[in-house]
Amino acid sequence: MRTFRSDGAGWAAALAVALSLGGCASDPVAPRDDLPPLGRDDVANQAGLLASVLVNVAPELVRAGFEPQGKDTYTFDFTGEVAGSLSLDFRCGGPEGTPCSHDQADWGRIWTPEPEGLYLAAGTDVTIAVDLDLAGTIDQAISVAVVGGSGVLRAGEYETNWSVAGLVVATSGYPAAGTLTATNGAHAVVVNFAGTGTAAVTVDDEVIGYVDLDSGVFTPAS
Amino acid sequence: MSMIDRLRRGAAPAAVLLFLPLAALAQDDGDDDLRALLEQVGADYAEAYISPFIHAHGPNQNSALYHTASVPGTGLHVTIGLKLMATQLDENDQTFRRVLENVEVGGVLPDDPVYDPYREETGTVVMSGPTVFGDTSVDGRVTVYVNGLPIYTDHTIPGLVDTRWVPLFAPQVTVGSVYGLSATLRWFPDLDLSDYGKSSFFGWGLSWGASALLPELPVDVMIGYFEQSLDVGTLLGTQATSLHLVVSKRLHAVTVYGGVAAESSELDVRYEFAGYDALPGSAGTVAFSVEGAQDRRLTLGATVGPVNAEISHGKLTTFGAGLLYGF
Repeated sequence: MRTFRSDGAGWAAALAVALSLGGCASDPVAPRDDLPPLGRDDVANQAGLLASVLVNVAPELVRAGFEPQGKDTYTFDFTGEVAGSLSLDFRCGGPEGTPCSHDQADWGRIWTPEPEGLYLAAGTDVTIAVDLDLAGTIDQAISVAVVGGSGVLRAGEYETNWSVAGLVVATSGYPAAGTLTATNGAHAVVVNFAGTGTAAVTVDDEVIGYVDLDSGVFTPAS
Repeated sequence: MSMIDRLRRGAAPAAVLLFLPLAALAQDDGDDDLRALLEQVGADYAEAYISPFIHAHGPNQNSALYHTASVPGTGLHVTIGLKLMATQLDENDQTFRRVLENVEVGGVLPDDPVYDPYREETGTVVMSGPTVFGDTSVDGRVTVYVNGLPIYTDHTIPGLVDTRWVPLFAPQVTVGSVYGLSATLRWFPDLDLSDYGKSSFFGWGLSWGASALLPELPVDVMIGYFEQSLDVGTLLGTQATSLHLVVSKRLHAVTVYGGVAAESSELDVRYEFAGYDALPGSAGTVAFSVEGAQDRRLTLGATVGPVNAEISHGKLTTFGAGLLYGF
């Protein structure tokens, strides 16, 4: 014969289930599509834009076109198609040396002090942001710096990591040497600077196109 | 404005609130109601924007349909109830992101010569921002990408009501029974809402209690079917159906019940595009239908005197309660 006690145990279990259900959250139902992965040429296109930014930014280490911010630090404000502020730090005796004036330093660093420090106007109400941190040696005798570093390109919701190595910049002209590597997803493309206004873009040492360093436009190899 | 006008303008929105979760839907300030917002975006954006409401209205309508599995055998029995349901949304449903790939961007971009170099290109359109239940102070955004770079972006619309709860009220009456069969109606008089048109709410259902046939069962058992429609003028139309199996047991003053249900729902949306979003298909009349995501549920609840409360869990979790009067 069933008793209230046994019934009660059953219903208590049911209520326990009910209470546990109370902790069951609803599944999300609003669409949350993934961004489609960038293709190789898409990353190359971004790399081209980055290369043109570097051509503008990196020479500031030897141009001395910046403004003193404090005793040993400087800022440079970009305007126009590239906008934003950069900080500069100069040392005598290498990166661990003492701060010194820019025209005596043998080492320098240039970076965006704020996230998304540089903006590129890419259209109506569209901006592409670049974070960068470059540093390298300076040869005051010939006004040339050899720099490396890295950063992030934020193109809308896409973020592309990049690094640069052996970039040789002077007060004018295009980088005489160096490479820029942009990586997004499965694709890593390399821009090879060679002292001219056009740089070859390679993937696994195969040339896939060229970048106009003035416009940043990537043109696939035919 | 006269007192009569004030009453007239206030009565309709108040009535709409009886069966609509969108409190601001009834606002009449021209810029912040649902239709005014939807008219600024195309179908793809609108569908994503109101998706939490699309998928929550069905579970709401299909909730609180019963409060016991006990159906008297034969005789006149009437139960009048006011039911309140509320679906709790996942916090991620306050925002959305919809991506359209391989779009011919020439049909998306504004008529501005600066975009001429891109008109023959194929690209990606990313729509993102608050849903209808998202942040009311933040605009959504549509961004067009070509070759990995954004070339155009535009602000869209903010959220309408910042909440994770989608409520619904429904008056209902159950009349029975003949050989364990009873009928239930949910209904509200048609309303002529000046800004939305004629709005109506109607639902009907049948329930059959097996106890009349199998009185020796240790618990009451009932099967039921219910279907409902709710129209808000020409803007929204909803349909919901539920086929459910319920068991209950009376324990002193408490009746504990549980049920399983197979259910479906659909929401139709129709409005005239009048905005600045140039997405494909956004010109003229925008109309689309979307099926609700939830197709089954488990319900557990209890009735004490004139009050019942329950929780249902399917794809979404819905809470229900009712105030009952029977004779």
